[in-house]
Amino acid sequence: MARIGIPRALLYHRYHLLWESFFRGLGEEVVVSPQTNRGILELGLQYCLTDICLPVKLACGHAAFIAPGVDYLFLPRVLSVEKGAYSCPKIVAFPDMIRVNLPGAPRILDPIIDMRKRILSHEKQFREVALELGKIRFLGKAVHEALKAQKSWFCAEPDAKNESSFLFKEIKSAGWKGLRIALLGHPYNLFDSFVNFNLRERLASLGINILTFKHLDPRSIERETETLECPPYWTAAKELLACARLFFNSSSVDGVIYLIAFECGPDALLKVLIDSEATRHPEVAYMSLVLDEHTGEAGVETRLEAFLDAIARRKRKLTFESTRCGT
Amino acid sequence: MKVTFPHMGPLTVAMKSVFMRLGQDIIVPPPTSHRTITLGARYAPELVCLPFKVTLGNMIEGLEMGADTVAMATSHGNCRLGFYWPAQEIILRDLGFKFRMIPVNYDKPLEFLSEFRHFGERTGWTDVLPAFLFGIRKLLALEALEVLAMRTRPREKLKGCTTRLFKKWHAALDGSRDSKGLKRAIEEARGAFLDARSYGKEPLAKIRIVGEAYMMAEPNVNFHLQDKLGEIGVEVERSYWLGKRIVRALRLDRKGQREHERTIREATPYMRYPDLCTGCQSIGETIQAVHRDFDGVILIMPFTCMPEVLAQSVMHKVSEDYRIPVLALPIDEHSDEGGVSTRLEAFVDLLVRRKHMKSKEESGSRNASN
Repeated sequence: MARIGIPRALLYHRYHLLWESFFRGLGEEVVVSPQTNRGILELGLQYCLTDICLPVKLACGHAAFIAPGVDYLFLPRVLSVEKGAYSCPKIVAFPDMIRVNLPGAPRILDPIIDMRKRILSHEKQFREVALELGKIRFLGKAVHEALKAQKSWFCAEPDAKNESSFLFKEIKSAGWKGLRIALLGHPYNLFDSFVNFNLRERLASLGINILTFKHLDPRSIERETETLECPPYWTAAKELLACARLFFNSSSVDGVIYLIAFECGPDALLKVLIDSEATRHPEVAYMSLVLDEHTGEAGVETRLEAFLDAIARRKRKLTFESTRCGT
Repeated sequence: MKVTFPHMGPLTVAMKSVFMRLGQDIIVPPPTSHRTITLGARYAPELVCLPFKVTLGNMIEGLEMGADTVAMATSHGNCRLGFYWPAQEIILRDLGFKFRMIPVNYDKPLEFLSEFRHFGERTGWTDVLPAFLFGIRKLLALEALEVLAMRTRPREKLKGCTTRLFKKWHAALDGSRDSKGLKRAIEEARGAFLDARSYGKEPLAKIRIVGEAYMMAEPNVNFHLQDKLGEIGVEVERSYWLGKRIVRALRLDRKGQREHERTIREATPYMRYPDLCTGCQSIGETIQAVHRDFDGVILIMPFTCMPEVLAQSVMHKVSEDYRIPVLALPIDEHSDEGGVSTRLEAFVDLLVRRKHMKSKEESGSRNASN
């Protein structure tokens, strides 16, 4: 039984159910790196170029952290998951970066997933990996199980724990309670509590309902992407833009927070489009947070507090006006 | 309809001639200056790369002069360039400009040509094709002139005569109206540049510039990198020429295509998927620079450039394996000329010293064997 190491970074946050259950189906041991912490970030900074974006730095850290204890590193090369759109080039080149920059790296399993021209069956995509591990006879069953597991991704929201070190926990302003805040951003920014300073836990502890794109119907996201005038050619960015439009158009959210990792290439341009979308919907409050390894926790807290206050104030004003109109 | 377009090195002059032939009113924005970059940086998102900011600045200056149509290059690659125009269109509209944006995709030759049919009074293929071909010829001639200047500058007899000659012949090429004129001008220019060389002088070192295309081609953004190196006494070669790139995209340059494929093949041990990671090319070009006896490589890129950052992250390994010094030069709107000059001078010093040590070692070993 080989030990397969998967870094808890980048696309892991999107496809973790698929990958983990696939390797379990093959009968291998899966080793996932722990939740991001300071040590992993430092490790990433050591093996990475300073100019690269924060998620890749963290991914390097995760890979370096688990590399000594595993037989294989699983770093799939996801070129494209749909026709006419690709992944971010940094995700494509990530296995190369690890191979070159990490001395003494274990063998890297990098199956190529490329659906730019034609749709490949999932079995074909994973065949290479199963062959390399000598477990080809389990392939069909493993793929079947993996796909079944991945289907539940959209409804399996990882629960935000209700405990947090938030300074203003005791205040619990009455206006904040019950607000519905949508979080936008790449999965590796949303679901990595280290990068976003426990944002989800913080909001949950204040009694605020969080919505992420997992709460949206995948079919409605697909429909929305088709209506985009100039769809971005990165799959993740396209999904993000569609989600932003769905959130802004639905009347069910009070505010939208857009999380951007510093130096993220697609996000830098996407911000312009999402900002313009936000100005078209003034009834929904909107804030973008740029996160990097130097962002201070207090800074994020202050901005969050101000943002929540602004929404609460606006709501109060609206109810006041409506009651006055009523009398 | 008055068309404006952002600058990119010699492209401005070529575009001017294409539009003139089509009978189209154009507005050439003022050359990229400090104001352009400041304007662009003020309105562009903070984290975007420098070419976005500079081209946005060019567009603003062009629109201020009264243009009502903007032509902007786009591509289907994986770089952010392909997504510049939607973002720039939104930003410019927010600023209150009223205009039409025409994206020109240079990866798809036929699409590219048919975009030009939007412009001008004469819009048939028979008008567009010759105008376009003439534009390419002019672009190639202008770039040939740059090559001449780059070769001559480290060997010039009189200090500053290359720049003078370059200006003179640049104006001549700008003014020429037909292919014959172009051919004559470039031949005469070649003679003039050869006369300006002193044959006793040898360049200090040979440097290849690789990296991001826009930063390489636009002298006002890269602090006149080529001229600066030439003045120090270095012979420079550039890996990217826009003219050649367009000819290759039109599938007219078989040799260039083969060479490009070879470059990509050389890079595969370090990075794969050239169509998605364009940084591959810089790596392949660095390796080729070793085969072609260059003393050093400068990797120029805008800060936060997606493909070149990837190239940079494996470049140290290439540099180690092939024993060639590489200077990565990320430039953004806060870079200043002094800093860039200092780094270049230090790099050239290093190369010269290294060359000297190498030749000493070689002669030493020869003596020992004797």
